[in-house]
Amino acid sequence: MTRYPKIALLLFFTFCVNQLVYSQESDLPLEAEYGDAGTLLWLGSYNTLRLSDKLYWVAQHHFRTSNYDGTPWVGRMAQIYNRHALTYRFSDRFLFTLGPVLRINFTPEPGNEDFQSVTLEPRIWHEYMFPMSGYLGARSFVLQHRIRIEHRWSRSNRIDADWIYRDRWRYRITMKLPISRTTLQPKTFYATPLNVEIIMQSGKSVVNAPMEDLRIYPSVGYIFNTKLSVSVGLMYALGQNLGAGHQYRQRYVARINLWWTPDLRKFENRIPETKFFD
Amino acid sequence: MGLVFLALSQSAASTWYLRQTDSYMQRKKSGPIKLFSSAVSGILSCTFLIALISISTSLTFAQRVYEGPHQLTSNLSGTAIFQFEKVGNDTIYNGEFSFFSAERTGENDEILTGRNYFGIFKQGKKDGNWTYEFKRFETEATPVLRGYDIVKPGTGEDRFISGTFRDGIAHGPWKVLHQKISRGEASDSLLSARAQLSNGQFSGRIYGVFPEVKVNGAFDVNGMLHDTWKIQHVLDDGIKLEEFRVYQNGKFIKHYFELLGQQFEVLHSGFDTTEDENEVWEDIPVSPTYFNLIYHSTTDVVSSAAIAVPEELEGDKAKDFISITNDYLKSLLFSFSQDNGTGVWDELPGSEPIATGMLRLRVYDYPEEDLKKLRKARDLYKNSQKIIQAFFKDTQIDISRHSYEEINYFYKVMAQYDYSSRQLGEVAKMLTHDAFKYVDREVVYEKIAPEIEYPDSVQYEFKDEVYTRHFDFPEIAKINGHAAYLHDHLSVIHMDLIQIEEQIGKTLEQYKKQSQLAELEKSLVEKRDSVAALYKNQFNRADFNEYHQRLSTQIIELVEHEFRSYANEKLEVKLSLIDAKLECISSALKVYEMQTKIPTRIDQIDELYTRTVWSPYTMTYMDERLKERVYRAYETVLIPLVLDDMENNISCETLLVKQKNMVKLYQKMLNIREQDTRDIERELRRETNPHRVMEILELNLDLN
Repeated sequence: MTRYPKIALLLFFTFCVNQLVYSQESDLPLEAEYGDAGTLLWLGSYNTLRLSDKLYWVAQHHFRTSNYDGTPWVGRMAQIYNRHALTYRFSDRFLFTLGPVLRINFTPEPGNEDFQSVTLEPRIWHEYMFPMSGYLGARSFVLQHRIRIEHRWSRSNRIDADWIYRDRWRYRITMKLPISRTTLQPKTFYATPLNVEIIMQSGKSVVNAPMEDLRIYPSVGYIFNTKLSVSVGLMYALGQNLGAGHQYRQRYVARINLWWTPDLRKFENRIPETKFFD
Repeated sequence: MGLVFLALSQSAASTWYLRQTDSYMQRKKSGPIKLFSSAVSGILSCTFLIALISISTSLTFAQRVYEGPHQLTSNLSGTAIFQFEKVGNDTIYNGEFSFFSAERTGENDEILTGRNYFGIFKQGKKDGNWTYEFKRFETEATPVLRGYDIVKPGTGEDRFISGTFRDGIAHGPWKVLHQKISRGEASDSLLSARAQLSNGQFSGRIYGVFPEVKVNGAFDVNGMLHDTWKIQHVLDDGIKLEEFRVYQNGKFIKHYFELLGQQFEVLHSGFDTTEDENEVWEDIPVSPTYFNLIYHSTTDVVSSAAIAVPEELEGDKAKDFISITNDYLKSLLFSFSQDNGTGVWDELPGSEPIATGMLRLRVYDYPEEDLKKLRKARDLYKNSQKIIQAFFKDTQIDISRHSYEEINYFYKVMAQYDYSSRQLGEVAKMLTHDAFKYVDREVVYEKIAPEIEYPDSVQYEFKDEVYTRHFDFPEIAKINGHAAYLHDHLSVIHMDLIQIEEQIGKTLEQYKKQSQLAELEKSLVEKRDSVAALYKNQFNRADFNEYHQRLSTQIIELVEHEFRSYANEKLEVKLSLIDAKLECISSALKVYEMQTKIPTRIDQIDELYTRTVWSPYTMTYMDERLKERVYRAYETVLIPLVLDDMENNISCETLLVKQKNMVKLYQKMLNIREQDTRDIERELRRETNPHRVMEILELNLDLN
């Protein structure tokens, strides 16, 4: 790993520890309370359009539903995500992304007039990606460290709810491993056995619930070609409720993702790249 | 000139003055005046003296002397001493001139060759007595004592010419002397000649004495051969045979021999001796051409008295004497101006050429068309002789005729054609000679016409047996005139010679092949075995691949079949087949080598059509296929097509051609890689028909 990723990770963990220390000092009940696990369905399209040799346009869209009123997974609409950004690939081992998000939040209680049917949640996000590769026996794998920092303005769907500003601090480690072949390449099944993300939050409104989410998300996928891939998985998420840090919500999220990465460069500019690592 | 005038005037003035003052002094007897007049006279004398010295000096500077190395001509250099003047940038010989050259050659430098010139130039022109000397001696290795000198005697020859020039033109008595020198002393005279030249031409009598012949001739005032020319031959038994050629102001009017007091006239055909009206006559210089004319126009020797022509003059013997006379006359007439065929006096500037005598001859009309035919006939003769001589000089033919009857047969035919072409060709050559414009060719031809009779067949000996074989020699009619006859006859001979040459070439080639057949067959067997071993992979070569495997059986069968079919043939057929069979089996070997490259080429195309891209979702590099439809068409349609075609159409003629299809396909894929193939890929969508695919890709394969 290069010097800069190491420093960034160190700072990040220092912050996390700081937050934990701070949260330990607050006045909380003696035992944690775990809510019933909700079931959600996230349908996502992750589109990365190559604009030039190093520049990409990220366009991610989620269609999220949630259990409601006895109907699991698809009881109600939950959110629609629109995450866009520009990514610059400094090298094969470091990418930087910056862009906006507009999340549409649907009422948690459809039909309840105390709630607005939709609220908007804008964000600005920036991301620092550190991919690495290696071999497990004959199989190659990819290990990614991702630091994502979001600055979000949100409000509850309750009528006359106030806007709150929070920062989100996310760290994710992912490992992709080919199953049907030895390398990740077209026409290959792959697995992501390791996909763990911790999302911390901070802000004036965050008093005793610094850990927004801990996500564990194993999945499997198939690479059609260099431009198209799909994956399915079940994510377990555990997080503190804002304002009641002793209460932990649990969710099982079924995720189906489509990955699309077209190359928008002109034909003559698509020069074969040199492999730095495989 | 100015200085001379000044000096003379000074002298005159000085003398006059001295006389005047002297008489005056005598009258006056005054001291100062006397002193003054003495001084003046002294000054005048000095002036005169100075002027005289100046004149002589300027004269001395105007004419210079050179002594040193001198390049007389491009291949004659030596030492020269001569006087000359410089006029602008030009050097004008003026005064005495001498040139010596000496060259040593031979293994031990024992051969000495020298040339000398002595004479006088007057303002760049030869004037007065001039001599030329040529010496060539081989000196003995051992010196001898001669008088008080120690010398190395030489043996060789000495040639000497002396004569006088007047203002650059030969004029006066001239002499020539050629001698043999033996051990430093004159031993034999090869030629002793004298003549009188006037204004560059011979005039009056001319004498020449050779060891075998004496000549006594004359010229008129215009340099024309004139009067009776007597040439004395000495026969083996010592008897003198005299030949007389009578001229009248250049016209050759009589020719006869005299032996033991009897005259025998020499008849010439086509030679006119009387000048009539409406005839064209020319004055020409004596030349070898003229002497040829005399010789070739000689037809007979007749006796005026009632006695037979003597044996010494019978048949061609008279012509032999005439030829000898011609040679000596040529030598004599040219000896004053040439040495060994090279002009002597031309080496130096300042003289006109010396004429060799003039003759007056009649010019005969001759049709231009006939002349053209004769010239063509002459060329045909030349070309025919080239073929014939090449044939006889060919060592292979010389050797082969003892082994092969056919060559022997043609050898005899060639010999016949050699004889007949010479007979015809020499006549054609002669008639086209410049000299023959002065004879009536028709008349001459009647006397010299060749009589060629061809046999029906040729006889030859081969391996101690005598064979007789027919050959179609030509029969040419003589009805169209001699020029047409000579031309047509030589033309047919030339064509026959070309055909014979071709046929012999083929025959020799076949014989050569026969002798080489054993070697060629050995090569055939070796190649056949190589093909079988390679395709069975007996050598366990690393480059043996699936493509070899695929065609292995068919190729081995093909090669075996070709070999067997050859082996069962007769010898004559084998000779014609061996090259083709070798070619076929060599092709099979080439195919093997080409097939070793197929996997590499396929891999190259695979690599060329693979692009590595960085994937944002796997964060790795992934290979993707470029121009996928094109590659798929290549991989799934065209390669199988080419391979199947190769496998199903194996023959000697198609082996290499089918392999080249693979190369064409490879080249096409290389070319397409760099092109924008959007349209092509659109057309290739779901297209599996091979011919349509080839059409879309503009690929032209040789398929069955």
